[in-house]
Amino acid sequence: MTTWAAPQEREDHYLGLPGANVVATPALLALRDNLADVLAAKAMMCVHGDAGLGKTLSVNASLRALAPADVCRVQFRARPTPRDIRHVLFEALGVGGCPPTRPIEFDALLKDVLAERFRVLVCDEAQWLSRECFEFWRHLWDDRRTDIAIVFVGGGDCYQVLRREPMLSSRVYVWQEFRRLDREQILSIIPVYHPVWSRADPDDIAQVDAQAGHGNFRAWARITAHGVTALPRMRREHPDREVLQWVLGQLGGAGA
Amino acid sequence: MPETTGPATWPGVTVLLDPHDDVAVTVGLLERHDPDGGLVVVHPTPAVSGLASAAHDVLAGLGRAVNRLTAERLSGEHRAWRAVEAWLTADEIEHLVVLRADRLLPAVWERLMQACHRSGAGLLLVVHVPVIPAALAAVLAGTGHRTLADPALAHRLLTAGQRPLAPAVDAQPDGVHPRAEDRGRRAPVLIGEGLVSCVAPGFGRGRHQAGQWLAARDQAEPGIAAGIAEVQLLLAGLVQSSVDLDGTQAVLAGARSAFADHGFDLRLPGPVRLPEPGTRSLRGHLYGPGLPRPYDLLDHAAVARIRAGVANPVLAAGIAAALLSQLPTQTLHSLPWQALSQDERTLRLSHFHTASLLQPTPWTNPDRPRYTMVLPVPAPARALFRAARHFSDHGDALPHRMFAATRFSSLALEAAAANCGIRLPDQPDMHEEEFRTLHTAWPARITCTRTASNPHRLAPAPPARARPAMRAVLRAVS
Repeated sequence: MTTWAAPQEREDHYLGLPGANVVATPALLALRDNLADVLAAKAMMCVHGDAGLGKTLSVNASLRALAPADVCRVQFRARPTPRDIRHVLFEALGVGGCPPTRPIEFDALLKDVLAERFRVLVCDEAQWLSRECFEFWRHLWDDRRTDIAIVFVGGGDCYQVLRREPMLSSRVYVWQEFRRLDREQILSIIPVYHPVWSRADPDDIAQVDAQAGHGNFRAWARITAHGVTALPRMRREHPDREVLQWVLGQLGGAGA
Repeated sequence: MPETTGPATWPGVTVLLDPHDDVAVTVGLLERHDPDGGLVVVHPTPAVSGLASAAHDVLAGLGRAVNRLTAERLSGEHRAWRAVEAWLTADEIEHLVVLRADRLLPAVWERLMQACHRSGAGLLLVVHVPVIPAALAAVLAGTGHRTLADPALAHRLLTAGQRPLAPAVDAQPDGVHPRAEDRGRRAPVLIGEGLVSCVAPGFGRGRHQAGQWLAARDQAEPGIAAGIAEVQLLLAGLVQSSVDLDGTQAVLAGARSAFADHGFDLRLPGPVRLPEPGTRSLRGHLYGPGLPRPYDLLDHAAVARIRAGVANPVLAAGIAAALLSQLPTQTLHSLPWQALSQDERTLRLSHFHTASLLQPTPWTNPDRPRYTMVLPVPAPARALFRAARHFSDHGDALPHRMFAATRFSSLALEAAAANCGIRLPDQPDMHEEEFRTLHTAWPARITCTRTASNPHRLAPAPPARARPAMRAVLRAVS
């Protein structure tokens, strides 16, 4: 599990791709509006969808604009326990001293800190959370003194996991699903996503998406990274069929 | 339910069903949380179980500090639940609402019911499931519990028993300034003999209230003079919230005037030396209610800080007793329960010379004078003593000493007081010849004599006659 306070914009992108832009996709624009509502209501939100669709990037980019100083992000890579969440929050909130040993004491301390000023708690990879963990988040949010909004971000079966919990069903203010980009969106978004694609043939972009991109930003970040490598190596100004064949070959064929 | 000894009019157990785990139910009940009004909502800590944790959750719900549970010897379930029962009783809690009750252990349900039954508080268990879990139903069997499916009914139930709020702050009498910072340094003055103008703020109040008291006494018990303890109690009560010497003098001068009107010569000791700025010691100073002191006054604010900073009722009462009596902790260590009146309104401190104890020992010389000071316990502090009494009395009988039920040392009390942000009276070095005792408490040294028309003198009570057995011991020792 990790915590991070304020990721730089470039770090939002998969592989930290140099030159990549944050594109105002319809999903990102909708997310920004939804987040604004959630922050105003100090509510809970769930952002879900398959991996690589830009959920975390969109949340980070939106919160950077909406509440840059109030965001506290936590992320879990394996199945955490409430004890793990307590310790991660303790670190992420920058609480000084030693963490208390008793849960009740720990929670009282966290609630004191979360009552000091408004904060947005972003819990990434929420699909890993157990019922006890959701109970812990609910406990913090329900407390009268805490001044928080909570954003759960998760892939895979995050929606099913959260929906299973009645305690969250009645508390989550907005559920937003991220979906794969369709062909039209790909043709309008990818040329502005990275300068590499600005002069690429739309038919080539469509073919690459059909073969390897699949409307997934993370896949397109990988394709783009290989494209950035290929252009100087193959002495090209922009990607042509030959460059794209090489890139697709790097990705393991994918019909190349 | 386990065997209980609670009141016959116990409101009982109610179960509220919240099948959809609706945020409105939880937040709505949390917003009703009002310990001063007799309604406590417990929001159990997630992902923990066990009797001790549940007790700590209730203590937190009651507003007690839970950051020093081990230091206060409340980490174990037995003592923690005793503390819960003590506070529920002393604070006269009408309703205890427990959220997420469906996630608790059967042993916790049983203990909650027992604690509520003993203290007389109604118990509302909120279960966030469509039906009462079978294990809970088994525990509830025979309790005559009610089940509610409508949160509005639960709110109505809670409103029915809630008491109105008590006033939040002390009303400060005229001319009395409670802030220690307000006082200035002055030359030694006499507490009772200083020149006080009859138009000084406080004079009128002292004269009026003392006059009313004397008149009421004359009417109730004509021809019987008041005991000196009663006079101490009156005077201490008149000036208890004052730390300003001018204000105290004015009130006491007013009282003397009223006593003179009723044929009494009330004499107060002096002189008073004010403590040096920054010092914590009152060694060699005349001290007592209404005099400047280098530590906190036992007022509403101090009691609120004690409640929020200590969970162990005995330590809470210890801090209150130290602030009230202004005696060092090591002296209070021997304070017997008999010093506290049954209604917790008065604290009667008697000083015996031997080892500066507050209770006689077989070596106490009955012929040496005993100093006694009777102090009124401020209303908000009474619950602290009440809770300590409940905590100490677990079934058989109270221990002889008031603070015997926990580790009561200067260090323990200082640490507990520090957690409350309270400054305690100084802890003198026992090797020093002179340290503060009731010798230098002004109420213990007042005298009240009938003037020529009725020369009956009110003075400290003569030493109690020692029993023959004790005399034998004394002879053997000498």
